[in-house]
Amino acid sequence: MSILFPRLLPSESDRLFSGMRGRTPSELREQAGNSSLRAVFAATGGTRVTRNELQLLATTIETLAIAGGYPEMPGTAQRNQFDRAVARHLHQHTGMTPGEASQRQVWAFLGLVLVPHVCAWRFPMKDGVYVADRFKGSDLTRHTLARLWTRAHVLYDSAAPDPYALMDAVGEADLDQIMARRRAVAATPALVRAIVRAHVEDSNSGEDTPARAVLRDSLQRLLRLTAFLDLDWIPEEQILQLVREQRIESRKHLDVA
Amino acid sequence: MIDATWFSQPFRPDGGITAEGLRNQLGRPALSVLTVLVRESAQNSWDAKLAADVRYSLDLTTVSPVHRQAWVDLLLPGAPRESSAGRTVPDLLRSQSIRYLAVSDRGTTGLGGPTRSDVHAEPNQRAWLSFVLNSGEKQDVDGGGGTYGYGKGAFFLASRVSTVLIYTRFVDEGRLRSRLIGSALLTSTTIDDVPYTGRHWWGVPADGYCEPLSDGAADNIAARLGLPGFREDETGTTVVVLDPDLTDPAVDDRSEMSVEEAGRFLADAAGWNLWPLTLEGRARRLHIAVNAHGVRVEVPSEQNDAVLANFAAAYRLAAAESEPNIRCGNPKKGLGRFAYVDTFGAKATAAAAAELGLSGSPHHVCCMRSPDLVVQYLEQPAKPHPEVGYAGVFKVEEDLDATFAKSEPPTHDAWVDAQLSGREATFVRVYRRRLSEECAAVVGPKAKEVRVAQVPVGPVAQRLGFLLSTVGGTGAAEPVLSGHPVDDGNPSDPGRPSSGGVSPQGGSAGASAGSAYGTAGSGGTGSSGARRRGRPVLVGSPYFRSRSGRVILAQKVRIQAGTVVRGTAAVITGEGGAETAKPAGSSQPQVLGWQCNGVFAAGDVFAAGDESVEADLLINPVEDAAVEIGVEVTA
Repeated sequence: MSILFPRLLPSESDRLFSGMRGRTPSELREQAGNSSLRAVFAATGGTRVTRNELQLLATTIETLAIAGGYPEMPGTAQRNQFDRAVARHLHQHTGMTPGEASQRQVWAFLGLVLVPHVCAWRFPMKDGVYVADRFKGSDLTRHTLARLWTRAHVLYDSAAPDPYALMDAVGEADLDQIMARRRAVAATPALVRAIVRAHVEDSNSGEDTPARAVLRDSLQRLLRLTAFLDLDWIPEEQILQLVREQRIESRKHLDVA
Repeated sequence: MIDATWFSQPFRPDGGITAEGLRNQLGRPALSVLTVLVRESAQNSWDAKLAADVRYSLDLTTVSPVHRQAWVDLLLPGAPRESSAGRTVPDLLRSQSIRYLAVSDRGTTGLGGPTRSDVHAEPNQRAWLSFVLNSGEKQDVDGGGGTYGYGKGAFFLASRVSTVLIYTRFVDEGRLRSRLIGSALLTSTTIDDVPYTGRHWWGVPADGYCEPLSDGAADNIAARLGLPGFREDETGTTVVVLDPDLTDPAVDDRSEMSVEEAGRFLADAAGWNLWPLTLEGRARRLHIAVNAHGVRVEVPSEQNDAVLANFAAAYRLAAAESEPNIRCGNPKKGLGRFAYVDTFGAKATAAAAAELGLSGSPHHVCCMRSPDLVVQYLEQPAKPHPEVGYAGVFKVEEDLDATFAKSEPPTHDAWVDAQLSGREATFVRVYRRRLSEECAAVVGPKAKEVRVAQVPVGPVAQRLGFLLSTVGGTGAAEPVLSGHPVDDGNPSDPGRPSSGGVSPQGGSAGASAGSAYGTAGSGGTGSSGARRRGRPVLVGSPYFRSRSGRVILAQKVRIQAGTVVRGTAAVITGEGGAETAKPAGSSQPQVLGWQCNGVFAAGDVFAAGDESVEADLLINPVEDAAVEIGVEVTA
């Protein structure tokens, strides 16, 4: 049975986000709550999450954030650690299904009602304004929490001893490169896993061209292939082989350049 | 009871041809004696057909103990002692086993007519004369395949004692009649100051020639020898090749095949050389049976051999061509009809096929003329993938049949323009060039060697299986126009069965499938002010063709009168849009130009004149990428 999450109505999302202008995270923390009159649930399809569960989720995320060095500005390593921990928790413990997770308004509720202050810690104001995508769910690959859930979902490998181990293997910027190709690459979790695995193998090999450049170039090559290859049905081992070959191609051309 | 005896032909005062000369008429065929025997004898049988189907059988066997004594008693007395190749008839009859190959046809006319060559015979009454007595007599049968009348030499060549028995039944004035005679071509010699030609007959010697045993006597003796007989009112001929030469053509050391192996070889030779005559749906068919020591050997056919099935499919396609599609430009003349089908995984393995040049996936054009006997399998370039091939069929137009026949050597296994002159030589040269061009287009671009990865293909096969629901078909996909060489400027025929273009060209990626496969963009979009009637229309799917030896992608476009259009080509990615960031060192599709009515114009812009035209937009393709082709109106 899946858990249904409240969906914040779009007009309320807009209102709450504009209300955030100029407010500090600590001010936002005071406004945070576990319910909204302007949130609805899907009519059928699962059990509605309770307020207590939502409160527990908010507390957990906040705890993880504090453990990660917030509200001070933590370093990259700590920030990554926070991201991974939240991703793991969202994916493992909330009972959220891909169907729910694909609802922008669910993430708007989490980002604007439940833990706006944590999102503000993670993506602070720039020039006095917050970035809407990080809060409203208008782009799930950029929303503070949605992107983490997606990342965990895509990299989840049920066959591995630690199903989330791949998340720890690759840095934020590299993963962003991959996840941003959401239609051509991230839509096939097996491909993402293969890309990450191949990248990890390559990162250890210490050659001339930085592994990150190889990653980016090989992604371009994979994009060409996914235009006519449907990788969803290819065994994961073969996808990995395919990715390795693209990386070899990329490295060949990049080393020359 | 008349007993048959041997008769040796003395030289006549005005000379005569020696047995050696007769044996050599076939020249020294490149094919093995058994294959030549199958080809020549089947041709004789087919030429002698009556109104219905012809049954043609090859029985390789050993004289049974029951009949053995009769062979010795009847054939040994007075048997010629000279030999053609070291072994004599008496040697054979005294040996442990007397082996023979009986080549029979039924549903044929049999060998009737006069039994001596110095009396007049009507054209349809010359079967005995031309087969048993004379040499080099032209076939007088309509649509006959033979041209030299030398085919019977194959029987003697196949016999290690150069001796055959001929047993025939025919209808003469409404009455069934039989004849039996033995015939040998040995060596010319002089005995007791009398020079002999080396030709011998076994029958009833008459004044200076030899009559056959006839009717009751013939049937009686044939039965005593155990020869294949005739049922009821059947007519036809059985030629018994004594001591057939079973040398294995596949090895050099002249080792012999066993009877079973030889039976297999004969069945394969019959299948691969005679298949067009056996096809279902013909008005009259040849039914082939091969037995080795009485055991039926399966003859390859379209029912049981994948490669032959493909050739048969190509044959039917070629027959369905409404007009000759292989043409000579100067002088203008339709030479014949050509068609092909792609093959997937079908391989030729038989030794008899290998002798004809076929092994592995076919990449050949089976050439034939009336009456659909295989002349040769012309080898053409192979497809890049070892499992993929194509089976082509080329049939000469009826009105050129005589020309091509003249170009054949006595064994009818090639067309040689050197034997002809003038226009005729041109035709025989040009057909070959045209077929090469067709096949170059079929094979598609000479792709670089493709390394095929060792990966399981089960999932791929499953996904692609629908494409192969009928081999050579286009599956659920729209038929892809087959490529033509650019030089002739000929528009492609959409009715072609399959594509010359979209050939799999896996790159280095083990799991990758097609290479550049154009997707047609919508024509004329985004062109401000372009009136609806002015929009260019993309016609059909893009296809590959070759131009100056290079592979190019072509898209046919109908361009409205008075418009100027620009062609575009871009790689599209899995994201669904045009590629923005290019992989390092990657190639990009480029518009090379336009080709309209055979005229090539470089550049991406094409201006139509006063009339709407169809032009080919030519694009430099990119391997392992999807290319979007677009055409927009600029003015």
